[in-house]
Amino acid sequence: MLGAMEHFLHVAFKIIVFGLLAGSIYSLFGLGLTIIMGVGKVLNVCHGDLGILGAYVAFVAFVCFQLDPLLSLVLLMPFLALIGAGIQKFLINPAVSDPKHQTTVSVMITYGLALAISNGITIIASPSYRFLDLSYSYSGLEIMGTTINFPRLLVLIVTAVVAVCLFGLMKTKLGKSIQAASQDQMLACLIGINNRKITAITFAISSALAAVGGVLYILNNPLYPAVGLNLTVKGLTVMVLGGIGNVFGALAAGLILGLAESLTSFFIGDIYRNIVVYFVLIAVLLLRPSGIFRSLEG
Amino acid sequence: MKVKTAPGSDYLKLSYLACGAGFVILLVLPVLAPNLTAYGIGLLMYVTMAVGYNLQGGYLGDLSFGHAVFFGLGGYAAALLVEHNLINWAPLNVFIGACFAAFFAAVIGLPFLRLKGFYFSIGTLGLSSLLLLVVKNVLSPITKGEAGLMIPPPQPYHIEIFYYSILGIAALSGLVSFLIVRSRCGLAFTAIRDNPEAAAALGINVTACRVTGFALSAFIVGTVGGFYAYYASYINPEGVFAGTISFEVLIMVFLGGAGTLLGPFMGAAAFYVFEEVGRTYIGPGFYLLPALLLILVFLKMPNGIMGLIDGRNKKAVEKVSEVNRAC
Repeated sequence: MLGAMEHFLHVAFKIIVFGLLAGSIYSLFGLGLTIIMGVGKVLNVCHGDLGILGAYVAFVAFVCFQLDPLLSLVLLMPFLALIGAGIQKFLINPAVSDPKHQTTVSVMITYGLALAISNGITIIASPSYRFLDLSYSYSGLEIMGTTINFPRLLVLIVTAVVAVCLFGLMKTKLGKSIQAASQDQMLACLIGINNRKITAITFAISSALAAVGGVLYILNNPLYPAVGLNLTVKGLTVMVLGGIGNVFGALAAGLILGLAESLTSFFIGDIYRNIVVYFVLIAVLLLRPSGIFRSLEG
Repeated sequence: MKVKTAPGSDYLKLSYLACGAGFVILLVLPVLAPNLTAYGIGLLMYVTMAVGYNLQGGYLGDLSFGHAVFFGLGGYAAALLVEHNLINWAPLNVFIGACFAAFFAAVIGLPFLRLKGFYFSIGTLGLSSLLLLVVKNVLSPITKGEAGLMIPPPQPYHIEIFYYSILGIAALSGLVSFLIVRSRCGLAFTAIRDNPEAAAALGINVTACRVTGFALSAFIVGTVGGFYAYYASYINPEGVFAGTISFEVLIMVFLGGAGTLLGPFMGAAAFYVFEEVGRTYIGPGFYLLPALLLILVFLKMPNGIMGLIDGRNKKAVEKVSEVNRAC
């Protein structure tokens, strides 16, 4: 009897931990998407591909210079932030003639970029799967009889750090301007916030988050060029689930999605794990388009 | 100074002439250049899908990211009827497949078309990803899952038969979209795209129009799906429900000029040439070329190739620079 109870606890713990670990990466992608959608009404479909671009750079740095992916992340974040600001400034801004069309135009242009990035990587690095073979991949921490290897722990720690930094940022003047622009662009403009500048800065932050997400993703998962779009769709689901522009919502929604995935793959079957993601996406859109939490859009 | 007016009768005459000439060239293509017939079939499939997408994405302004759903449903409905020995007469199967796609569009259109703007786009994207997995995994006892379905090619087998049937489908869908756009219904479509509230105030049934447009567009795309299943003699979930198909038609329509009658034809032709050149000279990763094209189109010619012809691009670019100066 005690054995069965122990077994149940063990399994439940495993499901929850692995769900949260997968979910924290979804949270990161959803966070990046939700802030830029909230502020600039820019739907960035190349978000996942930017993350994959960062991941490939980190992968090359690891293979060539034995640089730990987390160390290269320090350099990658500003690099991707620059790319992100550049996309907003040189590709999206010049194409938008009417702020009403910002979303449509940005989808088209970033979709073009998403294809360009993933196909460019395919041409340079071939479409094959690649695995990161870290020295600490196979050692781990044993908690309640479940071994969690260090790369997975790192995912959790880095996500927590990033989330804390982001909440900290939201308390600064810049963060308040971002929130203001996200609530009402017109009024933000009236109190002297430069909307274009704020949008570009937000895009930079969002791209830096994509870099973090991408690098954390390859710590535990295989890397191949086409995975970028999958990550974007996961991020979009998190964004919709959490409510657009809602930082806390995205964080929670990612974890919920991760849990839902690991629960489905345990109780129903592994092939259903992605079906649940899309099902949740459609259900939330149809039943509660403002997200399961109170959205900033109201 | 000469005042420039809206494109007048000369312009219309010219475009009718261009359509007629294009049709005649396509009509004699298999006779003049038999080795181009297969390319012609590919091109006409793209053209028909772009025409179908344009009815909804261009005229109604509801951007769907999941039109591959209708392509796949049309194909699978036609193929399943053969697989389970129910009906095996190509034209009828293709027609039933298209009807099924249109019916599905009407059913999901009712809830989905309540979503506004990009919510609709994301919803259709999720729907197409969901259906891919459902056909691949959940329905695998019926659809044979990842292995796909084989369809015996119709006898007698001539590539010309395929060519002329897709030419007929393309011409017919072009004609249908012409008639619809010129009718009261087409005017209602553009009114809804430009301002749904004002259209509703004028007594237009917005939901009915949007669902009709969605179903019509799905019917045309579903026809191509059924045709594709017979033409390739094989159909698998990854091949017909892939997200790339949805985006390909989107690129074609915007490349040619969304919301114009001739735009989809031009866009599909240009896209097809780019794709084939890329496929031949670049190999894997050949989508790089269409991708860069898409970015360029949105930066330099927001009204696509048609905008290049009637001069609307210049105006739009001027307007953007005005907006940029103002900010």
